[in-house]
Amino acid sequence: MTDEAALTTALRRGTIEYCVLALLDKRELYGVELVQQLSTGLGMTTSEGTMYPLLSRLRRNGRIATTWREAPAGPPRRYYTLTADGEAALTHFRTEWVTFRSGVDRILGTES
Amino acid sequence: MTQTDELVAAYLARVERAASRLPAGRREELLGDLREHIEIARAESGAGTEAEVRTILDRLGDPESIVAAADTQTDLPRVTPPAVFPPGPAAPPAPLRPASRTALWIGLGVLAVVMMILFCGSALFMARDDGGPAERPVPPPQPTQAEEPRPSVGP
Repeated sequence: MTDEAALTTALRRGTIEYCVLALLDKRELYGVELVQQLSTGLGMTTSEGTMYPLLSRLRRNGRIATTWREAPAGPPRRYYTLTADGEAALTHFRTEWVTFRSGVDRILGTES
Repeated sequence: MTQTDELVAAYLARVERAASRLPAGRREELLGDLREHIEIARAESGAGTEAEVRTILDRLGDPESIVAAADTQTDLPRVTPPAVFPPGPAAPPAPLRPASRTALWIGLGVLAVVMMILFCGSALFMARDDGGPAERPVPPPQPTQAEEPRPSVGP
C-alpha cells in the first residue's frame, strides 16, 4: 500500500461508518444501492466489497438493521435501515465532526 | 454452469480461501453478503454478459482487501471494549471504597449510638441523684448562685 493509499484508508476509517448512517438517515437502501452510493461518493469504486464487513459490524452493534422486501423485478432485496441507536450515534458524530473539522482546518490553514 | 457463473464461483472461492482466517460465522456472513450483492447486481445489469459480470466483480474489489477490511472490522469492536474496560479495572477498587466508606459510617453510627447511650445513662443517673431535671447546664448556675451569696455572707 502506498503512503497515499494508507492515508486515504486512515482518513476513511473513522468516518465511513457515519456516511453509511447518514445515507440510511435519508432513506432505507438495499446492499447494492448503499454500497454503490458510498463508493461513488467517496471515490472507492473498486472496493465496494470492503464495505460489507463494515455493514456487518454496524448490524452487530445495533446501529443498523435489515429487512427483506420483495422487488418488482428480480430477487427480493435486503434493505438496510437506521435504528434509534444509529440515529443517536449519527447526531453525536455530526457535532463531533464539526468541532474536529474546524480544529484541523484552523491548524492547517484550510478554513473556507 | 455458464462461463459467467464460473467467474462468480471462482471469485467467491478466492474470497473463501482468503477468509479462512476469519471466524466461521464472519466468513459465512461475508460470503453470503457478497453472493447476494452479485446476484442482485447481475439481475439489475440486464443482459448479464461476461463483461458486465467482470465489472461487478472488479467493483467489489480484490478478495484479499475485502478480507483485510473484515479483519479491521473485527478489530474495531475490540477497540471499543477497552474504552469500556478502563471503568472495569477501575471498578474493582471503586466497590472497595464504598465498602470502606460504609464501614466508616457504620463505625461512626455505632460510636454515636454508644455515646448516646452513655450520655442518656449519665443523664438518667444525674437526674436520679438530683431528683430533678439535672443536666450539665444546671450545675454551673449552682456555683454562680453559690458565689453570689458569698459577698452577702462575707460582710
